[in-house]
Amino acid sequence: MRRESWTNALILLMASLVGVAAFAYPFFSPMVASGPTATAHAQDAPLVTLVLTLLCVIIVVANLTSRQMSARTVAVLGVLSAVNAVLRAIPGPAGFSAIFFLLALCGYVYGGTFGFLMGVLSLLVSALIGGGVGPWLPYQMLSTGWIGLTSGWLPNLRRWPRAERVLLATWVALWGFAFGAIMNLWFWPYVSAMQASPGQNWEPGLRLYEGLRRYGAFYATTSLWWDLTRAAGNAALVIFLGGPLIKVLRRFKHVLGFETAPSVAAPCLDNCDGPQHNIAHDAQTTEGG
Amino acid sequence: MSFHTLTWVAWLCAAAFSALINGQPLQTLLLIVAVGIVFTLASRVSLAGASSGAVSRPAAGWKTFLSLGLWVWGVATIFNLFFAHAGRFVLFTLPRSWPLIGGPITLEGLLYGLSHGASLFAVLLVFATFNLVLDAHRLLRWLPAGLFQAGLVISIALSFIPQLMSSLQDIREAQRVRGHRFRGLRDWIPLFVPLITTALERSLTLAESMEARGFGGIAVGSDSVAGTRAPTRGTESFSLARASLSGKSLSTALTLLGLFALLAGLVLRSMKPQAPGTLLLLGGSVLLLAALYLQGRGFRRSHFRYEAWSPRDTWVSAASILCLITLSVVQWRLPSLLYFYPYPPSNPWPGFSPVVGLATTLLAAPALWAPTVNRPLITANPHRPEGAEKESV
Repeated sequence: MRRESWTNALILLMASLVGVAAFAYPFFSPMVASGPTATAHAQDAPLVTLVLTLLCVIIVVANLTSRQMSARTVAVLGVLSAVNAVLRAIPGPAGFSAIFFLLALCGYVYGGTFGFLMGVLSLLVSALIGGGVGPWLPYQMLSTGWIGLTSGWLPNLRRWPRAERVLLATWVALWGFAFGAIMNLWFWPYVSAMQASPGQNWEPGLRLYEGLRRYGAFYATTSLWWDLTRAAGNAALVIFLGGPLIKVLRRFKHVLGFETAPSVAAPCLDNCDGPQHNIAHDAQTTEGG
Repeated sequence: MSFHTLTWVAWLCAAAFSALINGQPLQTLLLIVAVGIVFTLASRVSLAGASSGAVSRPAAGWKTFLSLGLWVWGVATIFNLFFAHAGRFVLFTLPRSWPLIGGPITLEGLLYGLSHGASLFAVLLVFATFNLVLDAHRLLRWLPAGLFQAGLVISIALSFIPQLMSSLQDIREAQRVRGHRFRGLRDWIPLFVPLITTALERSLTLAESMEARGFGGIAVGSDSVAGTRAPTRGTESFSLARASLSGKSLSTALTLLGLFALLAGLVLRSMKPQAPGTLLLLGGSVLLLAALYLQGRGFRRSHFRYEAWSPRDTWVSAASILCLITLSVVQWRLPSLLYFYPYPPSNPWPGFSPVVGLATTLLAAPALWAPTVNRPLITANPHRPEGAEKESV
């Protein structure tokens, strides 16, 4: 059991690293494209990033859901993802959408793995109902997954409810900006004028710096204001609704009792009638049935 | 525009690939025309049948799409125009002291920005079309077996959303009777907290009913009914668990290896454009897909209803796959046909390759074989009432 959680963490870490590398790829790939002959390579940067990010998300989700989910986890995950997807679909003023606040609270209370899955799946659900499937979807899924995951790493300030709320609000606000910056990356290769830098033979480091500088300018002019309202709105929601919601989520944590992952390594040999031992690994989809 | 789901997936792969790798503006315009025809037909059909869907989607037509697409196109063009200062044909010059945008503004910069904006517009159009024709429930049944639990979570969420809306309505009415009014953010508490509580309580009931139907049990033997048989005792289930355990560790090893290969490939590829990086990326992807296959090997799925595959589907899929293969070969052997580079020393005027043009035209195939009526699912068992298949979790 311990070994399994270790390997899960390792896979998640590796996939996140690949995701970060894929996100950063557009900043590096122009390096190789400094003339009309060697340039065709840079053109596939959007494709490479998109496919790799999608692959990472799929493999991590497959790995995390494969053998350790009980019926309760599945049900709660589905329901909370639905709530989060609906929250995202509610249009607010100035592009505001409340996607982070419930996710951060759930990740904080139910742990990083749950938060990661909830982030990934709720984004997918919201894309399916709202017609938001696109090349940005893998980026969104991975970065919201990170929001849920990292919220699980926050220190548990159960005894100090006020500090807890302030911490979570700050966290959500910070992620609001980071999320916006990550989300713009998917079309950065299209907008980037970096690929067109003829005649200038820059040092790689200078090129990276220049790329980041231009990206900063692009971010500030196009999406900073949207992100500002989103971050502030989600932080306000945490401040106002966070306390009672955390209480409810904590109560159900005990009722559901799904923090104990069932063990695959110990199948019961003598007395195993009934579905209490939640070995999910051979359960079938009940679709159609 | 009802084709088989897999047909649409094949079309999406071809169209998205074409839109993502093509940089030549004339070819991009052709792509926009081809996909635009499909989009027009799809939006007409979806507007006609908008009331029949269980989950209502925002009405999408050209108007909605153009407001987004043209904005993005414009931003891409303007950004490139002011940030790229290379080229022979100078339109005007901004003071050099201005940060980033100061310098000569060139015709080449404008052309490059326009062509990249067109690519972006094409990408958006392809996915907008896919969103129009997408049926989430039909798509979910084609998830690979390794992802079946994720698919289960998604279908629970999708079918839970209408319930969520109705319980929100109930809670609102109840609170209104008690004199609740909205004055600030704090007034969301009496609405939102009961909503979450009800949702979590419902999920508890749902979990119990799933367990009662055998979710989480072990199905032994190939003849057992999917997910309904109680776990049997003895060595058989033990050996099964052990076998799946070894499969698990193999797939874990493959996953780690694949992810490592991807990481190394990305790093290599961003340093040098040579083949090893690309090969590592391909190898890593294959390893990850193999791991996914291994994880899903133990699961079997049965379908109550299935989609019909008609000759039209064969034609459209064949056209999509032909387009995909042609473009992959072009990208592999003659990438310069897909690359647009207006700056000196090359020619600023775009080129056009007939091969790429023909392959792009193939993407209009769904419009050629468009069926006029929405096709229902075929029921395997005629005694079941219509719609019984939806959400049996």
